Amino acid sequence: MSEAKVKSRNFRKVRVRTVKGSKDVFKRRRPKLGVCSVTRESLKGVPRALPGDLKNVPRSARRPSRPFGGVLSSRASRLEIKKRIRK
Amino acid sequence: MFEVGSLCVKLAGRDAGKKCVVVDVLDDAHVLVDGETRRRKCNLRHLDPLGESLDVKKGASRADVKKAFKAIGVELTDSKPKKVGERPKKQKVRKSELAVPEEKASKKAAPAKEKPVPEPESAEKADESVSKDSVKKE
Repeated sequence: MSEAKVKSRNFRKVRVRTVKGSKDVFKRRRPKLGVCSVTRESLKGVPRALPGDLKNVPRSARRPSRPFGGVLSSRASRLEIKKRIRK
Repeated sequence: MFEVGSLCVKLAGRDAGKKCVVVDVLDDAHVLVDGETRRRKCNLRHLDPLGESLDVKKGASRADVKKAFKAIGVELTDSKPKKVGERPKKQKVRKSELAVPEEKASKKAAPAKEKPVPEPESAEKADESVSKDSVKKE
């Protein structure tokens, strides 16, 4: 009987070969690609990795270092900056 | 559109959203900018002109740009470059120093116990016992 937490769709079942035969191992799914809420483009420069895997990754490799990096796409951020400057 | 002294906003990169002034026109597509941003070559696509111009000459120094920005009420700050110093050297520790257990170390540190010196009274008692034996034998 599998654990209750494993029944979540956040986990994926992986069949692993062992010495005695094989068994099921449950691993977390990688997060989906980020999407810009304005242009609906996929966000570039944001790795599809679990938070634990990003521990030893430099901060500059986790998301673009510009304003709105990792939230808005490049095109949307340019529009937003122009709008804010003109106010 | 982009002449020396024209005020712009950077749209791309880590300096996006910061104001800068054109210091030099390098070619059709590139200019040299300075201001709130770092002093660097920049593509015209990454700039948004604000329609204002500052009193800056071609190839103006950082100090001149600072003055020009101060006139419009923007204070520029310079970040100090990091001083690269020597790395602290690791001191080599011998294995024998590391292997000494705490108990032994504490024993070494504590002063050695002195042997008790026999008191003169006990010596007298011993003499008495000897004399008693000799009396019995007699």
